[in-house]
Amino acid sequence: MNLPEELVFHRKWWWDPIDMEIFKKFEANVQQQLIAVSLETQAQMLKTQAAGLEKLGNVLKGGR
Amino acid sequence: MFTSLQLNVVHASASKPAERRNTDRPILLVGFQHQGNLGLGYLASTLKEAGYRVVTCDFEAPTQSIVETARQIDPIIIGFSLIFQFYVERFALLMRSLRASGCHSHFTIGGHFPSLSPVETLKLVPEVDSVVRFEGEMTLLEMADLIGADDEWRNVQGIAYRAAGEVVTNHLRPLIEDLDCLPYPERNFEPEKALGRRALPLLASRGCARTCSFCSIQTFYRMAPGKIVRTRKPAKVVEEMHKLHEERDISIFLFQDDDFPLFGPVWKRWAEEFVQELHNSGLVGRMIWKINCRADAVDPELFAKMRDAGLYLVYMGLESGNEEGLKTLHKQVTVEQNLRAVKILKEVGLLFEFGFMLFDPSSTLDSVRENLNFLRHILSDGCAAAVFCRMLPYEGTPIKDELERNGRLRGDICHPDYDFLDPRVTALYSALSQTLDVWGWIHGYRALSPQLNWAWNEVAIISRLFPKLPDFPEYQLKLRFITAVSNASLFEIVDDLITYAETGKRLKWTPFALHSMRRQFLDQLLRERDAFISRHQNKLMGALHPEASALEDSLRV
Repeated sequence: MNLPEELVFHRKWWWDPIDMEIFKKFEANVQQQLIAVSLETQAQMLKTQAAGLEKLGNVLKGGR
Repeated sequence: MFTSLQLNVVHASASKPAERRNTDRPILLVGFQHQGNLGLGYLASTLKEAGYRVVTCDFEAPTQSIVETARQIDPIIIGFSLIFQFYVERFALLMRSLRASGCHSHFTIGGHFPSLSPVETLKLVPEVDSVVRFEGEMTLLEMADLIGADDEWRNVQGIAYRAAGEVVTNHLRPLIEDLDCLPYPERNFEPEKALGRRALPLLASRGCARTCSFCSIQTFYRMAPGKIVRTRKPAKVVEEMHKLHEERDISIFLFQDDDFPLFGPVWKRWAEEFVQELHNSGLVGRMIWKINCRADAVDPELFAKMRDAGLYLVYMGLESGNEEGLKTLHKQVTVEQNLRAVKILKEVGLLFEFGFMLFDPSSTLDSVRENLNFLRHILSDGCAAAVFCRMLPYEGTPIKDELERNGRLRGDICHPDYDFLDPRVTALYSALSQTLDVWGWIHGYRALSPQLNWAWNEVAIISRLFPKLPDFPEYQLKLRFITAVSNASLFEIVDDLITYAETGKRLKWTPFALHSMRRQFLDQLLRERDAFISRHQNKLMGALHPEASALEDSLRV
């Protein structure tokens, strides 16, 4: 909505360094956990892929 | 390396005659400027009154710009104002950058943490030369006089410094007895604005007579000699408000007093005199003001008088909704008193905000539930948005010492923390922080609750500083509804999390669902608010700029 600058909803006042610091830490924790989960999933996928490739390799070897 | 041994050296005050003062070089002050830093403001105005040029830098500014300012002005002293102890490392980094750029100025640091823990500060920040402890106006001035004249500064009262690998703490300087002796604080920052109305902070008093266990203010004012609470003369406070109103068009005054003087017969008289002075000055009706106070100071008669003199917002440290929590926090109020205060403020028609610690070191699942029910009780009508936090054990607080004695203190000096006694409370807290995204709901400038509370601030400002708007009551009803539903949802989520911590029962919520729920409340709030403001923008702008509006009318004729 196009409101004059003076009437725009002002949000800056609550910037609170204490809040910022405390909850930044939690956010970082959550992010770290998400990253860990995603890395774990990726590792699992790679393991599966590796197993698949190994199987394929064996089949190809046998075929030869 | 120095040891933690402290030598108390007896030194007489080394005040210097003004004629020997060398004010050729300026003084640089660095600190948080957000919302106006009155501490820095008082230091700057005291130095300026003595003839010094003072430059202030916002700590949030890019390091390079602070380094560049220091390089250009070559100050006698750089004074760092450290408000939050978890910023010690960031201040140390800034000082390192300044030194690396070749800055040889004297580095001194003040604020709560350096005042209460000078040994740790000097240990954590090797670049700092001295600590100015407690109220710093006179100490910093004396330091500037001596260092500027190349004289010995180590005898100055109220400082700490390193000598031969040890920390020396000089005798403390008494607190300033008459606050009206100080010049008005320098406010060289842009006022915050609310619907175009300009706001600035100010002080009517310094100090707090209470003994809350989680607060370092009491220790700060008790360690230094002198009277703990000092009030300014009501007429002087009103004079400052009048000046700010006339010269800077300020119509919202935010009192930053630790505890606005209201409690007991003497301070009640002070408050009544202040109200009378406001009426005498002709300011009533042209400005509004906000205070911080305790629940036990809320009195219907006095608050009605203050409301009629422009009081529009009361911030109260309620902190807990259960007796054990209030006892742990040493609030010296009861749940009943907290409830009574809220009831009075609602009856008198005053907007209120509050501090609340859902978690404290005594927390059990039952006490958290009691706290939640307390919040439900006071906020179910949607009069304000729910906010809460967890108590943290800051330096200089009795509760930090107690946790340390009991072996429960965790973290480090920059990130103090503690264990809950019941591991299920730890699980609840962790689930709450992660599932609910308190950051998005309660904390931070984009969070929902603060924005709802800001909308209520605007309502109070519109009703006091703008002409009557026709559908204003309807807008308030809508806002009340959104706030009430948002509060109810938040409480239900926390309740569910408590059950999860108690029984391990699966949560009904996913973080994604909560995020979208929060987003919906926020969208609804902004839609209603902007539609209301848009409908009345001509009237609102006319009130903000009456001259332009009158000119437009005459041109139209």
